[in-house]
Amino acid sequence: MRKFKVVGKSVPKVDALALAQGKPLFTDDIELRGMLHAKILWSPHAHARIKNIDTSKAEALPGVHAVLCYKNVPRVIHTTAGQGWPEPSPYDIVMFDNKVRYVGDRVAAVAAETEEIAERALELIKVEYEPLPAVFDPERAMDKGAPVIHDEPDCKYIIPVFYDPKHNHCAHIDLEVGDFEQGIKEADFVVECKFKTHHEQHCSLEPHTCICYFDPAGRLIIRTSNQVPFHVRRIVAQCLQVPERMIRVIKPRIGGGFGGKQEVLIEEVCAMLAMLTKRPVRLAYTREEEFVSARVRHPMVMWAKTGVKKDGTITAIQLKVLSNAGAYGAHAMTVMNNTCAKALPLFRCKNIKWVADAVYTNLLPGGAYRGYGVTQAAFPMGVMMDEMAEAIGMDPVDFWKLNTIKEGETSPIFKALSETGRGVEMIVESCSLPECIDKGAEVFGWREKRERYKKQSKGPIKHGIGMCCLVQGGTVPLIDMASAYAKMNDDGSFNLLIGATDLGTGADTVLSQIFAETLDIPVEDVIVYPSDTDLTPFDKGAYASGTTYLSGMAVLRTAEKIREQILGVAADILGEPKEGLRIENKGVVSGKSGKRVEFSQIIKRALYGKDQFQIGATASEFSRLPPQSFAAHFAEVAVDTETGQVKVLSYVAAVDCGTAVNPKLAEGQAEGAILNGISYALTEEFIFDDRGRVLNPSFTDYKIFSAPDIPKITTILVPSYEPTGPYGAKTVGEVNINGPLPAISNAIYNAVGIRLYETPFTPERVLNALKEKRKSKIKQR
Amino acid sequence: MIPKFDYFRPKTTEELVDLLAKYGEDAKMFAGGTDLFVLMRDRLIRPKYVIDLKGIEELHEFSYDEKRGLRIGATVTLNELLESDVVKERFGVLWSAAGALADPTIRNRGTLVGNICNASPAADTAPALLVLDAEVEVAGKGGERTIPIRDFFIGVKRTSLKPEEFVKAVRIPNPPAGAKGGYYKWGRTRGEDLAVVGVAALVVNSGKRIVRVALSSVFKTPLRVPEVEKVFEEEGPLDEQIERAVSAVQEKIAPITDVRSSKEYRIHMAGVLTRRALKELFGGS
Repeated sequence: MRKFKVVGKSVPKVDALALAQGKPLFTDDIELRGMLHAKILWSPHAHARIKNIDTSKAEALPGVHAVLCYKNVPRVIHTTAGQGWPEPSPYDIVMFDNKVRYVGDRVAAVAAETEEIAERALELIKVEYEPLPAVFDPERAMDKGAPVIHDEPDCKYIIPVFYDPKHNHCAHIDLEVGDFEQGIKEADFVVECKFKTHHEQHCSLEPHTCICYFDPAGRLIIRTSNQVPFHVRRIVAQCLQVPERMIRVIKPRIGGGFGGKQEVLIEEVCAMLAMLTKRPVRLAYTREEEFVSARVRHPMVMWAKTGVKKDGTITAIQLKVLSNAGAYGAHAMTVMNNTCAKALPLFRCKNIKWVADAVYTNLLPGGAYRGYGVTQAAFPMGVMMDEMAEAIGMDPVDFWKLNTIKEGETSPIFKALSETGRGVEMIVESCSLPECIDKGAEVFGWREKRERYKKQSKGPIKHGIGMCCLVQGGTVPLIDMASAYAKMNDDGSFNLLIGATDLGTGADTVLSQIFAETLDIPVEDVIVYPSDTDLTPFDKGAYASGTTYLSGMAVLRTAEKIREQILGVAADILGEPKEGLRIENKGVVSGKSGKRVEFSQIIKRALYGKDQFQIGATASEFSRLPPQSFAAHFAEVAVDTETGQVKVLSYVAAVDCGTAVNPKLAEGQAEGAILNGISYALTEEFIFDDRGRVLNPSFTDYKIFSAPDIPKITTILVPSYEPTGPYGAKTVGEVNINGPLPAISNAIYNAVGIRLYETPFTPERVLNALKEKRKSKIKQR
Repeated sequence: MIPKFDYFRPKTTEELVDLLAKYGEDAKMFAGGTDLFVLMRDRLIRPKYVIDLKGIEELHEFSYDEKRGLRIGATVTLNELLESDVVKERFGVLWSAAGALADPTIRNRGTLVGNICNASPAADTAPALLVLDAEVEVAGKGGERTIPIRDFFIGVKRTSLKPEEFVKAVRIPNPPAGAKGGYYKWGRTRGEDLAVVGVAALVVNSGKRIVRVALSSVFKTPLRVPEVEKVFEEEGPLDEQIERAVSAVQEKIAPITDVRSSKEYRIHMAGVLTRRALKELFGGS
């Protein structure tokens, strides 16, 4: 492996100083002259037809400039999912419909001089609802006689996949590699369990925020907190029925996305209001609106069945998945597919069967959420692994190591399925998972703690440990594309224009590092400008852990093209052939003569001297395969048997993300994901009433971990070298969120002997499970 | 966004009395504002007038007298209480409760008097004041009066204050010699959370045992349980007494099921916390 100068160094984030100084970097930090404020009226019903809307009183209110509803907005069926075209999500939503499908569904929108006037106007809108029966339980959604949520005739997929909205059946795929039943026959032990995972909100620090205005040429500018600016342009143009050339999308700094902003959730309404009023319009969600009318992680019901031989060979794996898509199908199929495509390649098993359905219900629509289906599947699979290891009396560390994919190996799943359907045959060319398991176990003290906790203290607090291994493929293969453009300036610095979307992750920094490394310049000489559909070339956006890997390759290729141009000019200056020259520390050096010419001389010659031209290039890269990032997670918990409380005492994650371009940022991604996962496992929970209303739409009662709750998290980066990635890099955004559910569940079992198959592991749930265990013990006697 | 209101910042209690006499029914007072503005933002209340108490020097008085005990003015913040050695050493149960309320940034603005005037059943400082036999100094157009804390809370978010009255200060007599105390709060997270159940206990273990217990979040008001005190009036084995105290608490409380917890879990946890509190304060494990 070559030595790097900039890659592999924890250089400070390029935007850190401005952020720390509180500069006006975020969407909502600007105030435009004449800007109107938009507010949205939400459905109070889980399922209802709108018989009539009377907006006349609202329109008459002084200060109100526009009121939108199904009556005055064209019906354009589309998907809000910010995915590549043609989107693998059903077209099942319109800007305003005459039907509402969940509490929090959009009914009308107002633009007014102030937020206060807009709110008052909402109160003046009279809506006549005809309530319809609703269905909330995904296991009841396809029952005979269940209310049909999408009875509109125009809902459809625009790609050829299964879709049966008349039975609330949003997606279905199944596959089998090998022979599952035969595998079960060969097994010495068979384990079978039902699992349930719950809703989760992204809780980005910055809620969805958008400001739309017109430039002097009459083009619509959309300034928005979004992960997918190029998809925003396409989808807003579609909804407004205007050419894409009329729209420019600008993404400023973003206060977190986590998938929640891989969605065109508010931009099209804001844009429509701006079009109608010819005034700048601002639309920003409140925290409550984030909870009642944004997107969530798809809750799933899963049935797992596996077979294992006494020697530790897994003979069969079956995973059946029922995903609760909620009211609209954005990301429903792709998230569901990932429970197989991106989760199951981890396991060495010849016989795998997977059956998956996604159903509509009258609850919050699911969407993209960090982990994207792998989080859900990693839970049953991680617990099943623990159960199988126990069944054959093998230490989980050894069992995981034996049964996880290695470098140079393949999985039949790769070929069988990808996130969008078609799979890609591939070999795992980089994998340090075995070292991750060893190092993680050692740092964590696995063997020693395993011994120690065989004997529990007399008091109410019991200790336990659990582990799991994880994989997450990055990018959507054969679909995703990223690109970059760069030009050289008078002083030898460079503008790097990237379509890639930094959400606070540090992508701008990492991509600058890759560019700087390739041209052997310091990061300060890279002026990075991201995500502006007018100025930067296309990028699919920030999702599927794809930025470092894919946008990184595009940046690398761009820099390589520029290097060739620089060497060409240098050759002319030095009067030597290009082949003998190399780039070194902001200059070009001849290997033969030892002569050196500085970048500043080269660019001056190119711009002002001879045969003038702009040194600059653009390059793009599409994903040929999904690079596989791995991790081994270890959790130590204390379970209070009197209160039911589970406390995570320590957590170790050993992570293989290939080369960590910026180790501190990679650790930050890992630790953020782990904390997010622990909080999801223990305290985060939506509470709905029997009419489908969210009862806890605020941080007061939707509990996310904050600083005092954070356990000791240790991240160990265990490098590997991915030949298809920039300088060996893979991906790190998502894989680590998948660990806490299985690792903590396994640790609870180790501590108190109860298996939790349903999330989250709240004190009441743990206490009830402990009571059940005591009862069943009494019965056995 | 907070609905519009008219703002007053009186400089003297006399001005305040006049403002309340004039606007009492439509006015809300605040010091830290950590409850009031959240309620206003969520449109749960829409007062026409908001009166800021922080301009009244007199209400910021915070004093201790060997004989009369502690006096905490209406605008004394929770962090000011927490910084006081007297509170920490002699009124441990209050110190512990103040430290359990929300988080340090909220406590920088929030006040003890605000906490009790908001009168949430989950008010963290209320059980401590109940076991300390605090008294509330009240003033208004009709003059001044003192309300014992046990009569102060009359319902969910309701106090015995009249619309034209305000709380000047809370007075706390010295606890019995040798008293130890603590507030045992059960939340869903360690970071800022409302109590699922909170138990304040005050214990004297020299010679005759004295035990006082009060709870938050298990009744329509913060609740002291005198039956616990009776249990310890007679002599007996400590473990047995503690179990009887636990039963007394669980019989007396009437919690509800809400988004934070089920009723059953609250009853269970009231028992667990009472037992843990008493065992710890009596020096057991």
